Amino acid sequence: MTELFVTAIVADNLALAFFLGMCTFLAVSRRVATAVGLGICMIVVLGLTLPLNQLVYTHFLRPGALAGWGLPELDLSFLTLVCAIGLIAAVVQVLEMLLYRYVPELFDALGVFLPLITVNCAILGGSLFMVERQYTLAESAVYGIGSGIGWALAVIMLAAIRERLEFSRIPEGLRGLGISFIVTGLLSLGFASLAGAG
Amino acid sequence: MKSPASLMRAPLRRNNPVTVQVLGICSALAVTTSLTTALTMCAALSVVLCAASTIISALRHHIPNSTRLIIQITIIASLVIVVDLLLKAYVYDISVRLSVFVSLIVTNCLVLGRAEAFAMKQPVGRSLLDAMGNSAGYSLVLIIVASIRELGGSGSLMGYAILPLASEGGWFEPLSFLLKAPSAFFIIGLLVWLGHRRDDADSVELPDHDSHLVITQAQEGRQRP
Amino acid sequence: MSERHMTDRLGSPEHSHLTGRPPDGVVRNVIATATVAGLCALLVATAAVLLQPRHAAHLQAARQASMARLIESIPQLQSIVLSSTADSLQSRIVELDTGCFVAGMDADAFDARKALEEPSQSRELSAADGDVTMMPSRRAHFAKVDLLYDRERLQMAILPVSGPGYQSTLHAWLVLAADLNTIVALAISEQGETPGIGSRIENPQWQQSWSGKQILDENDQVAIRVVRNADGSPNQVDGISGATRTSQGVSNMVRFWMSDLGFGPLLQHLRRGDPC
Repeated sequence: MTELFVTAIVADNLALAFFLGMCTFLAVSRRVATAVGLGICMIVVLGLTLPLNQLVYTHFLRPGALAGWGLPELDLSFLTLVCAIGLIAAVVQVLEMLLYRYVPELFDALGVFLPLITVNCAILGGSLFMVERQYTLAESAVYGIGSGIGWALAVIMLAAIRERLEFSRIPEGLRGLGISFIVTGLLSLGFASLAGAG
Repeated sequence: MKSPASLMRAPLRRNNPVTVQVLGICSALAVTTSLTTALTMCAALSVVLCAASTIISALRHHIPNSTRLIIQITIIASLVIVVDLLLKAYVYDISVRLSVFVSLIVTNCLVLGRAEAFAMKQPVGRSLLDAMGNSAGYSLVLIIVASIRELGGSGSLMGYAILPLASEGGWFEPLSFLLKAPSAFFIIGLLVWLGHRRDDADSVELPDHDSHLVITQAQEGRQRP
Repeated sequence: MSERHMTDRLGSPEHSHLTGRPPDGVVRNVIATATVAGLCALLVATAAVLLQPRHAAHLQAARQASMARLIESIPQLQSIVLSSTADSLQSRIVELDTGCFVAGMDADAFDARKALEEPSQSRELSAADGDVTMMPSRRAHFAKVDLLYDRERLQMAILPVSGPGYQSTLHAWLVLAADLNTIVALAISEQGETPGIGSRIENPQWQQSWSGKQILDENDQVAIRVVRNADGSPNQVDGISGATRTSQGVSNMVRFWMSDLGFGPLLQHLRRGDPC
């Protein structure tokens, strides 16, 4: 479990090793404050949706999951994608409403990021990896939180570097997007070198 | 209003979806360790993008405003599932290597971005042209990156040996670094640079970093908790 | 939250400028959304049903390929695997102390011999673990097991076992039936015992004598052992005359791996039907 957790944060980092959530990753990494907000949302949403999707998959979609309902031959696994994305959208929406109702301060700080997360492929990717690698409920919770932390860590680091880069002399054509890619590559290199830790 | 020809041409370089608009990067990086997977991915994305744009554009007068995004995602997701099922049925080996990345076309900002920004407002013909142009631009980047990575990383293209490997008696020592994740970032970063240099004055159009933020804002305006 | 922000959020009609259309009526919304959903469902379901036979064929081929790899790696088990009705194989890595499967570890890349030498991946067994003369000197934290399934039901478990013989380390595969108590086969895969004496543990007849024996007694204690002149009880295997020490080595090896230090925790989880 510890190993799964650490691997999800560093060596199997969703952003840096699997390139997931890249669009958001590059768009929201210009200020550390926004990166922190988005990072926290990612941890919460990944931590919630992965176990939920695991439950839906094992109890309804898996081949033979509906045997108890008299349908042992039914294989609904082709619906995994639609169910996963529907569930993610629903969780984000409910989370938004709860925050708005009960913790308006937090909603003010994080609310902007929540819709962004529905169309973030890191969240969907996490759920699909969970199905592909056949994680148990506990494992998917650990994996969800771990990969959320990993993604948050990566985006905050990139934002911190980009804030500094504004004052550096960079070849004109590389400014902005180009150098972000190069920095992300270097970060990815650093994270990959931690493979085997844990 | 842009001419049909420029609709097709602009996304190739000046307004390339990957290197300029920063859309659909996830898959552009993940599936480019070999040319075969990259080409399959391009085909899958092109089919989904063209079909989604056409369908959404055709339905644009009937799609209610408030459930717009859900409907778009549903249409895209259905197309993706069908494409994924087809790949699994006819090119099983490649689909195993593509892993979850075909399914992730659903959240590929490129598809949703073009649907929301273009197909919802334009007639079918122009939407299809726009989708084809963007597919071509996306495919161009993927093919360049995948060619560099496969040729340099394993000395072959589409699995056929081009450079004789040292381990098999040839002279080429493969740069296995090119097969690792970081190299993809470097290559795309350099492509961004290259694309910028060549265009100079043409590219005053600012990189549209936030094109998917437009979606978000639209969504945000709608959502009331 | 600023007031302006609030009104924005609370759904002013401004958003319609995006499409330049007036807000829609509820009935029209529901009808349009439901129609699209219905058509999409139809499309996806049709594709899934039409392509199902091809998918099933690919999955079957993939399973057979993995079974073929297993048979290739353990030739002694060929006839057993082929005669079973199993249709799929799962190779899993087990954490021996907890008996839980480890996710995220590549079973194909796991090298048991290497793990045994690596201090971080194995540990020395000491007197605290029991009688050191009856067990191997080191044990890895993880082991790779192969589980054969027949339509999702466990049919056979193939467990790697090893331990000291008389003058060499013995390696073998222990195949257990679905109840995880009855031995299907013991296949010695590697030994360096005295030729003609201890090496007779490789004798097919002797290996055959393990088939059908039971690991546990009525009280669910590990009771299997090799004895001289077995009385035919399901827990006893007849030793090889003249090769007492080697026979004893095999006996200790099987007993060790069936104990709590070996696969005991895993087997308990699997017998209870709650693998973790």
